[in-house]
Amino acid sequence: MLDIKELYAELAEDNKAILKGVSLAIKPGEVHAVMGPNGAGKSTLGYVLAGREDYTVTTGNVTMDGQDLLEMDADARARAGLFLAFQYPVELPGVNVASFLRTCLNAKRAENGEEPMNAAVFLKLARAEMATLGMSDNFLQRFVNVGFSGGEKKRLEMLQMALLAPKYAILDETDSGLDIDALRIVAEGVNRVREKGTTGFLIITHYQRLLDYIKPDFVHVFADGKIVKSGGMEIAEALEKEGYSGVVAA
Amino acid sequence: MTMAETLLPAAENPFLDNDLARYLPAPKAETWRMSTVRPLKEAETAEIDRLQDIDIERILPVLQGDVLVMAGGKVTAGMGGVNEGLAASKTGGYAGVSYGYEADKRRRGELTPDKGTLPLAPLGQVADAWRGGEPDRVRVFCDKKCQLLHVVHVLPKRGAPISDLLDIEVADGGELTLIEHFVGLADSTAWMNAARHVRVATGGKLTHGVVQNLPFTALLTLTQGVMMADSADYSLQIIQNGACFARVESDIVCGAEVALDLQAVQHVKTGQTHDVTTRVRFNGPAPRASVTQRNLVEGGGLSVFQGKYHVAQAAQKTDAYMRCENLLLDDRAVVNQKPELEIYADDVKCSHGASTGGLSDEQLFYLKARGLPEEVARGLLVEAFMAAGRERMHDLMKEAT
Ligand SMILES: Nc1ncnc2c1ncn2[C@@H]1O[C@H](COP(=O)(O)OP(=O)(O)O)[C@@H](O)[C@H]1O
Ligand SMILES: [Mg+2]
Repeated sequence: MLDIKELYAELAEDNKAILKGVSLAIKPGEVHAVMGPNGAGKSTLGYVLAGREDYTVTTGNVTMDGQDLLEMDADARARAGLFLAFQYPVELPGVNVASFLRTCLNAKRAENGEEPMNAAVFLKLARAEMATLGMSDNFLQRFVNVGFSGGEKKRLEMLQMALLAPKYAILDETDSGLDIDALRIVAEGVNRVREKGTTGFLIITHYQRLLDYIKPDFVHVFADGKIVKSGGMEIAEALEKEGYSGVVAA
Repeated sequence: MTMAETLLPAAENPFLDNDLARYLPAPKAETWRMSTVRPLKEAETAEIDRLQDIDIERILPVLQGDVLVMAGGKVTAGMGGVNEGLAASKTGGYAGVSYGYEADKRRRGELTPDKGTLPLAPLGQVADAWRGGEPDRVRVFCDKKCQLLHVVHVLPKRGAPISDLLDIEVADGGELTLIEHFVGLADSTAWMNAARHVRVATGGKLTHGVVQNLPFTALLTLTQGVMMADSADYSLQIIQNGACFARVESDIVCGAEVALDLQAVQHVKTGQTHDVTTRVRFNGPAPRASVTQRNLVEGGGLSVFQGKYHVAQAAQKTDAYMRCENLLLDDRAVVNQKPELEIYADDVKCSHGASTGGLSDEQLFYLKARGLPEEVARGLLVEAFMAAGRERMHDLMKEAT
C-alpha cells in the first residue's frame, strides 16, 4: 500500500506552503483519480512523492509497502517500485531512447539482484511494448523527448512505465495535449498494466474524458493543497456539470 | 569560471619575450591572449627522441581504410599500407598521397592564404635524421569520389618543437575524407608543431577530422591555412581529449557559395588547455557556414574558443553562425571565449551565441526518478553532452568505409 498521511510540504527556496495535509491510501490494483484546478498542488504531490529536492516535507509521512518513502532518495524510490509519469517530460539531448530505457531497466534489475538484460532481449521487449503504444521502431534511435510532439512524449512516459512495471504509478496529466486517438492508446496502455492487478495508480487529470477510458475506483477532488472530497465516478460527473467551485462548496 | 585568472596581459605573455614565436606560422601575440602559453615555453627546444617501430605499432589506433603513419614528422618505413606504397613508389606517390621535401629554409612558414600558395616551411625538428633532418612534406591529393585516408601522427617521448607538414588538395570532382589522429608514446612531453595547407577546388569536397588523443603530458599546435574556391565544400571535425596544451588554429578564406562547417568537441580536465581558434574570411556570398564548439570542462581545465568572421563587401547574403556551448562540471573550470564579427556587407545574416552552465537539475531529477543513481545520471548527461560531436566523427568513419 502507498499510504500518505497528513502530508505538508513547502517550496524549499521560499518556504511557501503548497501541500496542506494530504491523506490518501492506494492499494495495488486500485485506480485513484485526482482532479482539481490549476495551481492546487497536484504536480507538487507527484514530485514530493517521487523525491524532488525543490520541496521540503514539513510534517506527515508516507510509506510504500511498509518502507518509509520520505527517507529514501529519488532513485531508490524509483527502484523500489514508484513511478512518476511527468506532466512535462524532460528532454535529454544526446541520450538515445534505447540506451536510456535499458539503463533504467537494468538499474532496477540490479536492485532486485537480477542479471542485466542484454540488448537483444531488451529490444524485443521494447519493440513489443512500442507496437501496442503505436510507436514506430525509429523512436529507439532518437534522443529522449528531443523534438517529440506532446503526444509522443506522453507515449514515451507510458513506455517507460510498461517496461519498469512499477508497484505504484503516478500519472501527472498524462492526458493533456493528447488528441482522442492518442488518449485512447495511452488509456489502453494503462489498462493493460492495470489488468495485472499488481500496480496501484494515482491519476492526476484535469478532464473527465480520460476517465471515460480508465474507470477509476476512487475520485478525489484536490483544492488548495489537499483532498477536499472523495467518492466514486459520480464526483467526476458532478465536476463536469458544476465545476470545481460547485463541488467544493457542496 | 573567471577569465581574469588565466588571461595573460600582452606584456606578460611569455611569447613576446622569447624566440618561441619564430616556430609558429601565426605568432601574433594578440591571438594568444586567451590561452596559457606557459606549457609551450617550458617545452621549448628539447632534443628529439628516437622512435622505434615497435613502440609506434603499440600505440597505433585500430583503423579501417588506408592509413599513413608519420612519426616525429617523418613518413616511417616498415608500417605497411600507404607507407610501404610510398616507399616502394619510384614517383613518390601512392593512392593519392605523395611526399617529398621542398626545400625552403625559412624558419617561419607563410601560411596566410591571402598571401598566395607558398610552400610550408619546417617549423621545428623531425625524427629520423634527427638534428638537421628535414620534415617530410606529405601531399595528399584527391580527384576521385569517396576516398578515405587516415593519417596517424606519432609523438616521440621528447622533442620540441617537432615539425609535421601536410598539404591537402581536393580537386574538382574529388571527395576526400581525411582523418588525422594525434597519438604519442606514454608520458611523452614532446611538442608537435604541425602545419597544414589545405586547398579545396570548385566542385571539391573535403571532410577533415582531427582526433587528438595525446598523452596528458604532450603538446600540440596545429596551424592551418585553408583556401576554399567558389562552391567548395569543407567540413572540419575536431575532437580533443589529451595533451596538456593543444591548439588548433585555422585561417580559412572562402570564395562564393562555399559550404563550411567546423565543429569541435573538447574534454578539458585538470592541467589541460584546449584551444580552437578560427578565422574565416568570406570573400563571396556564403549561405551555409557554421563554426560550433562544445566543451566539457572540469577541474582547473581551460577551454578556449576564438572565432572570427570577416565578411567582405562582396559577400552579400552570407548566412553564418558561430556557437559555443560549455558544460562546466565544477567551479574551477575555466572557459575563455571570444567570438568576433567584422562585417562589411549590409545584407548578411551573421550571429554568434554561447551558453555556459552546469548539469541541469531537471534532467538529473528525471533520470533519478527512473531509478538511476546520482553518479550514473551525471555520467549519462556528461556523456550525452559530448555524444553529438563524437557521433558525427563515428558516422564519418563509417560512411567513408
Ligand atoms: N518549483 C516551483 N517553483 C515555484 N512555484 C512552484 C513550484 N512548484 C509549485 N509551485 C507553485 O505551487 C502551486 C502548485 O503548483 P502545482 O503543484 O504545479 O499545481 P497543479 O499541478 O495542481 O496545477 C502553484 O502556485 C505553483 O506556482
Ligand atoms: Mg500540474
